[in-house]
Formats: sequence, C-alpha cells, structure tokens
Amino acid sequence: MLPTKCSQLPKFLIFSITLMLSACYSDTTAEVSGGYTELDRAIKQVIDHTIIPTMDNMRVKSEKLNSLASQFCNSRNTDNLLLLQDQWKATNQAWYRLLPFTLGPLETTDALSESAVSYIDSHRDRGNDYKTSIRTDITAMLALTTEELNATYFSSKNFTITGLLALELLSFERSDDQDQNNNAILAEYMAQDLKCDILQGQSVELLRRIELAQTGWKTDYRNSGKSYRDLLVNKQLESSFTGIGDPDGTGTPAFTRIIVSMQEYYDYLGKRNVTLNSAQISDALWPALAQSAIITREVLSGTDTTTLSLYQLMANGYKPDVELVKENIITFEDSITNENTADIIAAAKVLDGNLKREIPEALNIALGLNFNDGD
Amino acid sequence: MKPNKQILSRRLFSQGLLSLGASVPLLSHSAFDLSWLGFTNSSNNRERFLSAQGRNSEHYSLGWIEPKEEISKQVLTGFRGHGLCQNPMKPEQVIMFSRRPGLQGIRINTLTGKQDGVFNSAADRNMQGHGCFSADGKLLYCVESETSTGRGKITLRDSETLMQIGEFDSYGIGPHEMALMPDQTTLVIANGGLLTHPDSGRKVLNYSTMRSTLSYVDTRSGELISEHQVPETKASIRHLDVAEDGTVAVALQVQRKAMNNEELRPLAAIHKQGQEIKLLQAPEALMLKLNDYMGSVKVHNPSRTVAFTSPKGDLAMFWHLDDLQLQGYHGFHDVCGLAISQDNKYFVLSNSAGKIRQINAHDLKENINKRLTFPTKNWDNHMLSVSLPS
Repeated sequence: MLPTKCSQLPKFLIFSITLMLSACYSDTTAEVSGGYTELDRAIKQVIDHTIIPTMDNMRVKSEKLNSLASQFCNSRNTDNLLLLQDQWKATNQAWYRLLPFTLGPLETTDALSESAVSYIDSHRDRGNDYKTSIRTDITAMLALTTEELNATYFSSKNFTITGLLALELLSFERSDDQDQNNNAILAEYMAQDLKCDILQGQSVELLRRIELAQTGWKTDYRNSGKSYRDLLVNKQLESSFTGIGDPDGTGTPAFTRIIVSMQEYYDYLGKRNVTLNSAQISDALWPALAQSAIITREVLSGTDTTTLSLYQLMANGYKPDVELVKENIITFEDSITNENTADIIAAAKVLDGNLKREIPEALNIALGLNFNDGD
Repeated sequence: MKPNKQILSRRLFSQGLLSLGASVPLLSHSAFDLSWLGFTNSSNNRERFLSAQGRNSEHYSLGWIEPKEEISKQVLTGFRGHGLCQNPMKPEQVIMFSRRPGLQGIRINTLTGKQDGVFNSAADRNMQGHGCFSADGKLLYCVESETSTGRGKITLRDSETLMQIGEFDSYGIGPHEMALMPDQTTLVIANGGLLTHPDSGRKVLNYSTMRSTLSYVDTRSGELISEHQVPETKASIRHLDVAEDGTVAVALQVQRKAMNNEELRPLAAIHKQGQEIKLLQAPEALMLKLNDYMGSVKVHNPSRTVAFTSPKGDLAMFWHLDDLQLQGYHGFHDVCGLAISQDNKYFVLSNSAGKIRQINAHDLKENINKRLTFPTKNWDNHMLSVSLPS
C-alpha cells in the first residue's frame, strides 16, 4: 500500500514504487492475486471509501430530518420550521450524492416490485412529476384519524406519494393553497395536528427505507447473512442469488454495476426535466446537483485514503482521457453554478458518454459488448 | 454483367433454382433449429454452441464450445460476425455473416474446425448480418442491402461454391434477420426500416421516414406475398424466429431518438398468417428495464414458449406462443445469444463475458450445474446450437 504522504519517502523509493505500479497497470484486468485484478482493488476502494460513506451520510441526514420533524411537531414555531426546512435541504443534498449509486440495496430486489430509489425519489424512475398526486393524498390524509395514520399505513403507500418530494411539500408549503410563506405553513400545522402525523409518518418511513438500504450495504443483504459490500467485492452475488429472474444473479461485475449506475444517472439528468421538477418548492436543486459532481470526481480520483484510484489506472496509456473527464466534470459544475439548464443537460450527456466509452476503454473493460453495441 | 451481380428476373431466378436441382423436402423447422432433421439426441453426437465473438478486430472470430467437454475453440475472421446458420443437409457446414454493414461471410467445417469458404458482397451490396439455407441445403439466402439506395435484397448463393446466383427484394429498407417458413418456399424477413450507409457506418439516416415491416416473400418467384407492421412506426422489427406451426415471433427495437415521447412500447410480438401482429405485454417495471431493445428471439416448440433477450436490460423474457402471457424472466448480464439445446430441453443463453447459462424451457428454471464460463470469449449477439457426429 502506498503511504499517503509520499513526500516523507526517499526519492529513489518513490521512483521504484512508481516503476512497480506502472508495471502493474499494464493490464487492469490481469489477475494479480487470488482471482482479483488491479481494477478489483480500485473498485473495492471506491466502495469502501466513497459509496458506503455516502450511504452512511444519507442515513445520518435522514435520521436528523426525522428527529427535527418530531422536534417541530412537539414545538411548532418558526425556528423549528426553519431547522426542518434546512435539514430537508441537507437530506436532499445527501440524496443527490447517493443517487448515482442506484445498485444493490437501493435498486429493486425483485424486478416487479418497487425499488428503494423510486420510493425515496419518485422522479428518478421515469421523470414524472407527482406533486399533484401528493397534494391530493395529503388532503385525503387530513380527513383520516391519528390511529389510521400509523406506520403500516405509510409503509404501504405507493411510491408516487412518498419520499423526499412528499416531505418537501409538507415542509415548504401550506397544503390548503400551496402558500409558501412560513407563517402560513406554521399556522396550518398549529391548526391541524393531523398534518404533523403526516409529516412524521412520512419521515419515519423514509428513514426506515434508508436504514434498510444501509443494512443491506453493510450487514445483511436480502437475508443472505452477508453484506452487499462483501457479496459484490468478493464476486459472490451470482452464486448467492440463483432464483429465476433474480437481478442480483446476473453475474454483472462490480465495476460494471457501479459505472453503469453512474452512467444511467447522467443519462437521467440529460433526458428528464430535473431542473424543472426536482426540489423546486424548496428552491434547493443547485447545491444538491453539485453534490453529484463532487461524488463523481471522488469515484474517479479517490479520497485521501485511496491508494489506487480509477484515474491512476486510466492514466496508463489514456492520460488524455483522464484530463478530458476532469474537464467535463468541471464543465458540469460550472453549468450548475450558472444555474443553466441547457448547459447542465449538455454537460450531463457528455459525462454519460464518458462513462459509456472513454472510462471503460481506458480501464480495458467492456460494459457489455451487446449492451453497448448490439444490432 | 457478371452473373453474381445480376438482379435476376423471375424467369432467370427460376432457372437458377432448377439448375441447382432445387427440389425441397416438406419439412418444418425454425431458422436455426435442425432437430427436425434428426441431428439430435444421439448419445454419440457432440453438441456444440457457436457464436461470433471478440471485442476488437484482433480478436474477431467465430468461436465455439463443446459444453460437455468444456472446451472452446475459434477461427479468426478479421471482421465482426453476427448471425449464423447451419446447412440442413450438411450439418458440418456453418455460415457466419458479417455484422451490418459488412461485406463478408465465411463457411466453416465444424468437424475439422477449419474455414473452408468465404464470400463477399457484390458491388453496390452490403451484408446485413443474417441469412439462412434453403431446406435442401443447396441455396444460401443472404440478407443484404443495395448500398446506393438502401433497398433490402435477398441474395442467393450456391451453397457449395458460395457464388451469388441471383437476388430478389426484401421489400423494405434495412432488412436484418430472416427465416424459412415451414412451407419451405416462403421466407419471412424482418425489414428494420433503418437506412444506413457503409460510408457513415451505423448512423441511421432516415429516422423521420423509417418504415419497418415483416415481409413474406415467395422464394420461387421473389414476389412479395404479404407485409405487416406493428402499431408503433418507430419500432424496428429486427429479429425473428419461426415456430413449427408457422407462428413468427419478432423482436423489436424502438428508436426513441425518433420519438417525441417516453411512453413504453412492447418489444416482443408474434404473427400468424392471416392475422395482425400481436404485441406481447409485460409489467411496466420489466418493460422499463429493457431500454427499448430486444436483441434475439428463439422458439422452443415442445413447450410453445418463446424467449427474447435484452442485453440492455440484462434480461431474458419468456412468453407463451398461444395465450401470449409472460411466463417468466431471467436476469443475466449482457445476455443476447439465444439457442435451443440439442436435447431440446433448454434455452441456451450467452453473454459477452463468455458465460453460458441454460434455462429449462418447460419450468423456466436455470440448471445451475450447466453454467459455463470462458473468460477469454466475448459472445456476440447470436448463438447457434448444432449437433455433430462424434
């Protein structure tokens, strides 16, 4: 393992290590030990240093959101409403940091049932805007009783009326007339206890779904007794889930699962009206989108604790592609800073293409011959 | 004008057939399935799965495996292959066509493992990836396009010399897969409707005017018998297989770039003579995964089940040919190759990671003991299952 502070090493040792690493990088897919390749090692670090911490961050933010929803309901005042709103924004940012990794516990465990991703973010599925459905649902729930608005009730709700969008509408507008003035929102909560039941019911269920996903990543995935992280890193998904139609039994390598998930995210940004539909009531989209750029860069360049990054592997023979991708991420960030929808879409499409072509090619990996270039 | 560049008149075409002694046995079969000729089920026979394979021009080849021996071999081709077909009368002869827009095809002798023939598209023609033999094995029908106009052509070659002896229209643009119908005289052709040109590679040049059809053409006259379309005009009919009763299963690829909406469209359909094409439905969650793309289709006659593969969805899906109900699905990374095992029990699936899986065609459960992996192989779009004498 390379020390993190190379400056502490004698120059000749740095040179020797560089030479050794260069030799290792000649073929990222060549087995180096125990059936694992250099790419496997790099991907393992992406999972451990980036994806799982991002999952953990989402759990922390959701937990605090739930806590602040309770705090607000226990003490309904403007300060607590502002805290709730700020925390929704923080949670939404955490979500956009996690959204490029819609695999495993966040993805569906049965192709016919609803995925955790859809539940948390209904827009991600097909780009449909479900605000009207949620508003109608809130009105309907306000006619129920506290007893009826129990945990089971919220757990069984359709994905179109749940998740972050439902919590956004509950936190940033008065249900009666969509007034976004905080005094109006607060007055409605003061007048109707049931609205707090709805707020808390939705936040508890969001947290439950996030906790399930986190447990899947770190402890036990689909009652296998093993974490998704271990199953993925140790290439055991294919042999562990052999049931008919099981999406975890496809044999898709970890690298492909992660890169395709990221690629599909940028494809989504390029195709769907994210800037028109997502986080609009809270006016909180741009900093959330910026998180996606940050996490994309981190996947490729690694963190302070990374010893073997994807950029390092790509640099062997494909340095121009590394520079190209770096520039494209900056372009994407600039478009977010400028809040320019057309530029965001264009930049997302470019990154979509990089994830499909330049990055896999530089890593000597095919995402799928038939997937990429069928006839 | 050289004979092999000639567009045959109906009279010349018939003469060509007669000169080859083209009398055909009355046999019923699907395009790649030779079980009807008795080349199956002998314990002495060796089952072999063949496919185009390779990730780049250095490795493009026709590869094959013998699942019982778990061995793999290949013949380098220098071009990316696509569809394959076996001579029904000389089962050792297998043809592999180049991927569209290509110019070459090869014949290998599967007993020796050697290439024993090569053929090229004539001037102003390019190959579209598929073809099939006549029932008597004397003619090789190749799916091609007229380069200058994009019009689909079915070229005819003497299966021994591989020389072109005639051609007729496919009656559409961008023909792709075709098969011989059980009457042994009719070809069913998937005209994808997509105009491409070798100069611009695989770029589609006619999204706005594309017209995809399923055409039935009389091989004796080269005349169009009938043509059929699916309701979605931007759905390209590209692959097909024929059940022994003449039911045609077709796989579609929706050209989303040419559409102004994101509504899901069925990607599988069946057609029976005298009826409209019927679309096969599936739950939205599954449809969404397919990414508008079905890559291969194969009928299992005993169970009346038809399988479709979608490498963009990592899914194989199975419908019943008669009640049109979805029977099940199987997740498999980058799956596309699809064949019927020689014991007629399994759907054989292949992917670009060199893996093979076999799904029992009756209960649609995978036999995990039959999993095979050939890490150096990248199985391309189509797989052919053959049986050879030991």
